[in-house]
Amino acid sequence: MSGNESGKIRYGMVIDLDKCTGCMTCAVACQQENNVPFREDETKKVRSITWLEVFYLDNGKPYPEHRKAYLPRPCLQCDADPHPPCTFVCPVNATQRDEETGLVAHIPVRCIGCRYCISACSYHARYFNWWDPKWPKAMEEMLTPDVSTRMRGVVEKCTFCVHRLQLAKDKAFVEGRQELEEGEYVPACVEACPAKAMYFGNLADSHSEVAKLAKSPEAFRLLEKLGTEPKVIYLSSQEWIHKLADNVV
Amino acid sequence: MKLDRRAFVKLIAGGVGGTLLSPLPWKMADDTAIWSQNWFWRPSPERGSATLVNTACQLCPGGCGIRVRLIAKKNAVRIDGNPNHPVNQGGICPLGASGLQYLYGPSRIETPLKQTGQRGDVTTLKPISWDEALDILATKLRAMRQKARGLVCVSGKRQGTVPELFARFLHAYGSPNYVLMPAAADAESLGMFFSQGQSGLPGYDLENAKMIISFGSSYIEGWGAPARMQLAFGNWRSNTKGNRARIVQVETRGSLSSSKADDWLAVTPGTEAALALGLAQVIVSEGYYDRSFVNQYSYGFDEFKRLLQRNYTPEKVAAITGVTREKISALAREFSQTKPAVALSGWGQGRMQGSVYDFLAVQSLNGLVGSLNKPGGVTKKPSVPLAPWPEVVLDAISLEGEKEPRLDVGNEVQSSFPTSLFYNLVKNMNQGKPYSTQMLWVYEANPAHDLADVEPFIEALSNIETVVSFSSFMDETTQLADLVLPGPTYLERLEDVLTPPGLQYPVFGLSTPVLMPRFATIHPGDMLIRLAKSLGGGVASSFPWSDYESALKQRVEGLAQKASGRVADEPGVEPWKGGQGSKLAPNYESFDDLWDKLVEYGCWFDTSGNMPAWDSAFKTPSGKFEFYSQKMRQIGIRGNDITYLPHFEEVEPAGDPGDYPLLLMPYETLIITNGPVANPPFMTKMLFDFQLKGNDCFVDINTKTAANLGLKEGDRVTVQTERGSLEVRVHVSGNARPDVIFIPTGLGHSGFDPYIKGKGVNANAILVAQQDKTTGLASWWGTRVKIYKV
Ligand code: SF4
Ligand code: SF4
Ligand code: SF4
Repeated sequence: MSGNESGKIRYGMVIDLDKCTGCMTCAVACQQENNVPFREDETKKVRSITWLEVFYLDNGKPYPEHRKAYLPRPCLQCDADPHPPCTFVCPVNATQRDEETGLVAHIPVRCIGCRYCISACSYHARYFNWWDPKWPKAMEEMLTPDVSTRMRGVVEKCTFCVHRLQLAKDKAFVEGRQELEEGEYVPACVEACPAKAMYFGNLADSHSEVAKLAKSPEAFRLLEKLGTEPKVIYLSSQEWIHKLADNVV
Repeated sequence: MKLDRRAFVKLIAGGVGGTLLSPLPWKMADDTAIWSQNWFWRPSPERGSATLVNTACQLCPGGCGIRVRLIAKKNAVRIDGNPNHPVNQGGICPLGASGLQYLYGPSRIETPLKQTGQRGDVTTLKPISWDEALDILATKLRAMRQKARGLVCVSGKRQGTVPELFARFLHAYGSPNYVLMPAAADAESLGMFFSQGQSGLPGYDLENAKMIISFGSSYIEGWGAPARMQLAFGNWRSNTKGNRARIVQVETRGSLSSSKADDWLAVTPGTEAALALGLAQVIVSEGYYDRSFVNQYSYGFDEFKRLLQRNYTPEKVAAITGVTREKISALAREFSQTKPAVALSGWGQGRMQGSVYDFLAVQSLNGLVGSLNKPGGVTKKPSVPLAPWPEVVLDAISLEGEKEPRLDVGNEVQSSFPTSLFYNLVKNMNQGKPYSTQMLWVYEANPAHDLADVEPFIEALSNIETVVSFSSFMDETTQLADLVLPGPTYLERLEDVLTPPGLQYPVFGLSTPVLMPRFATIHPGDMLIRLAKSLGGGVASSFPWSDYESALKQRVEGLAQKASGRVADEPGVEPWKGGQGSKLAPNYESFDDLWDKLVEYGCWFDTSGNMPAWDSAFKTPSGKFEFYSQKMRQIGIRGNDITYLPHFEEVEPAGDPGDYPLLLMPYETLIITNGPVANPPFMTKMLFDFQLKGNDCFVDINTKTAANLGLKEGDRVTVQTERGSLEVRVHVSGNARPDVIFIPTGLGHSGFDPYIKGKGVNANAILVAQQDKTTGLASWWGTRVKIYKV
C-alpha cells in the first residue's frame, strides 16, 4: 500500500450509518457474489444464511419520537490478540486469521460442522448449513465460479470477499506490481452500496480513507468492551445508536 | 433479530468449553471430514474467462446503468452498477442486484401459451408455436377491425420506443385506448398542464439543493429514481464534500425516510398538502417570498394570497395537520431562507396518482421561494432529443378511431387532459360504457396484483373476450390471460431506457442483449411490426421498419444530429454541475460511432444546464406560472374560485368510522418490489421476521393501541375494510400512529414461483381507491379498518 510506513496490512471496513439508507443492496450483492444459498422459507432467522445481515435498531421511544436505523453487519474480522474468538475454538483449523492481511478465513472443506465457532462469535456472523444448498436448475447458471458452493454440515461466513483480493493480486502480478493501490480490492457489498456509505481499505495505513474515518469522534465498534477488536467500524452522529452498539445488536 | 449481551456471553462460554476437550477426537473428525467431502452432488459453477458487459436496468423506471459479469461469454453471474453512469455512479439497488434471479428464475414463460380451458386455470394454459400464436391474434384483430376501439392496451412502462410502438399500433389500428398504469406522474403531468400550460413532468435538481422538504415522498425507499436517490442522500449526509443538506420529511408513518431525515413531521393522515399551504401562508404574509419571480413570472398571486390568508393560517393548518404553529412558522422561515431549497411531492414510491391539488400546492411553494427553473430547484424534466418517426398512416377506420371517446375519460373536460385515467378505464370496462372492450393487451404491468383496489379490475376482465399478456413471467395477470406472448427479459433484449422520474438532466440508456435469449421469445417491438404487416393497409404502412432495431435506430439519429451530449465513457461525471446554459461537447463523430459507443458504454447524457428560458417556460394563457390556473377555466372545468387555485381537499377515507374505527394505510419499502415482477429470493430473504414469518405478513400497530385492543406482538388478526378482509399478524411498533394500522404492499402473490407465492397478503385487495370527480385521479392512502383477533 502506498504511503503506509509500517508496510502492515489490516483490511477493514467503515460503514457510515448516517449515510446508510437501509436499502439492503449490500446484503443482496453479497448473496450474489458468494453463491449464498436460499430456500423457499427464509423466515426462521437462526437457520437463514446471510453473510451480511442487516440488523434493525430503534431508539425505543413512542410515536412520534420513534427513530429507527438499519445496521449492516458483515463478519467483523476481529483483530483480537492473539486470536479472534472463532479461530481460537476451531478444533480442526478450518478457520484462521491470515496475519498478512488480517482476514479471518473459513475453509468449508475443512470444517467438520461442530459449530463451536458459531457459539464463539459474539456477533452471530457465522452460519451453519443445515441442508445441502439447492438452486432451481436454471439458477445454477448464475453461480459464480470464484466461490465454491458449500454442503450441509459445514459453517460459512463473510470472507471480506477474499477471492477479490486474489483477483486483484493476480492482476497486479501480471502488471509487475508488488503492491495494491487503494480501491483495487473492494468487497462486493462496498462496491454495490448506492449511497456510498461503505468504505474499505487498509486500517494500518494511516493515509487510507478508512484509517482516517476510523479516528472520527463518531466512530464506534460493536460490543467494544468484549475486546474482540473488530475491523468493521461504524460511524453515527446518533447517540442512541452508539448506546445500542454497546449492548444490543 | 435482537439478542442481548447476556446471550452473547453465554454463547462464548459454550465455545470455550469445547476447546478444553482432548484434541484427539477432533483430529479424527477432521480426517473423516476430508475423506467424506467429495461434494459431487452440489453444483460446481462453470469456469471460464470473465467479461463485463454494460447495459441498462429495466426492473423499475430508475434508469440505472448496470454491468453484467459473464463467464465464458454465456453465464451471467453478477449484476453491479456501471460506474460511468451518471444516475447511479456504480451503485445499484437491491432489485437491480437481484436481476439474474429473473433471467434464470423458475417463473419464466418459455413459449407462447393459449388458454384451452377455463380462464384462470394455469394447467390449461398450453404451449403453442409462435406462428400459431401470432396467427390467432392477427385473425382476431382482423375480425374486430370494424370495432377497433374495442382494443385496449395497458402499459406499465411510461416511456421509450416499445411503449410508443404499442401506442402507435393502437392509433394506426383505430383505437384511442392506449392507457398507462396509474402513477403520481398522472397528477404531475396534469398539474404541470394546469399551472405551466404544458404537459411534462418535474425534474428536481436535488444534487444542488441545500434543503429538501418531502411531502410524503418515500425519498430513500423507492420514490423517483431509487438508486439516484440513495446516491443523493449519501451526498446530503457527506461531511467532506460540502454537499450537506437538510432534509425534512412530512409523513404519517415512522418510515426510514422519516427516521433518516433531520426532522420528521408526523402529520395527520392525508394532510401533507395542507402543510405545504401553511408554509406558503407564512412565507407570503411575512414577505419571505421571491418577489422577482412572483412579480415577473407568476399570475394570480393576489388570489392565491387571499386564499392562503383566509384558509391556511398557522392556526388553521396546525388544526388540520397536527403540526404546531411554531413549527410551521419556523420551518417556513427556514425553507424560504435556505438557498437553494426544494419541495418534493408524490406519495410513497409514486405509484399513487394522488390529487392534482397536492402537486399544485407543493409546486406553488417551490414557486414562492424562487425554486422554479433554478439550479437546486425544480424544472421540467428535459426530453431526450430523439428523431421523430414518420407520421402514423391513417385509414378510414383509424380516422374514425381518433374521434372515438377514450375509455379512460370520465367526463367532458377530461378528454383534453394529457393524462391516462386508469380508474375510469376500469369502471368503463366493467360497465361496458360507452362501448364494450373486446380485447385487452397488458404490457410490462401486472394490474391483477399491483392495482390498489384490485377487485373491480378483475371483475372487468370477465366482460372482455380476449386478454393478451406480453409478460415474460407467470404473474397474476398472465394467469388470467387467454393468450400469452412472452418477450425476452431485459437482459436479453435491445431497448432504450429514458430519463428516469424526477431527474433534471436528459439520459438515454441503451439496454442490449448481454446473452442469447434463453427461450424462444420474441421482442415485443418485433412482434408488433410483424403483426402490423400481417394486418396490411394503414396499420402495415405505419410500421415501415424491417425490425425493432431499425425503428430504434431511426430515433437515435436525433442524438447523433444534436451537437451536444456525451456517451458515458468515464466514471465520476456530474451532469448537474453544468451550470446554466452549458452543454457537453459530443464525444462521438457520426451515427455509427454513437451507436457503437452506446452499445459499449450503455448511456448518453447531457448536462442539466438546459433550464427552459423564462419566456418559453410557460405555455399558459398569461405566459407565466399560474397560481390561479386559467388553463383549467379554458378547458371548461367549472367550480368556484378555489377550484382554480392550489388548495387542500380533505378526503374522507372510505368506511363508516362507527364500524371501522381505525385507518389502514399501505406502505412501500425498497426491499419488497411493487411489480410488475414479484420479489426475488435474494430480497425476500432480507425481510425481518416481524415483516414476514412463514407465510404470514405483519401489520404495524401502535404500542398503546395494541395494548388497548388486547393485542400482543405476533397475534394473528383479521383486518377488515368495506372491501374485504385479510388475515395477518401484528407487529407492535413505535412506527405507527395510534389510529393507524400500516400494511406492506407487494406481497400476497398467487402467481410466480414457490419462493414468493403465498407469502403474505395482497393489501391492494382491501384498499379502497377514491376518485376525484373532476380530474378522475385516484387516491388510496387510507381506508377505514377494524382489526380483531382471529
Ligand atoms: S447498501 Fe449501503 S445504504 Fe444500503 S443498507 Fe447497505 S450500507 Fe446501507
Ligand atoms: S465483504 Fe464480501 S463476503 Fe463479506 S459481507 Fe461484504 S460482500 Fe459479503
Ligand atoms: S433503481 Fe431501478 S433501474 Fe436502478 S438498479 Fe434498481 S431497479 Fe434497476
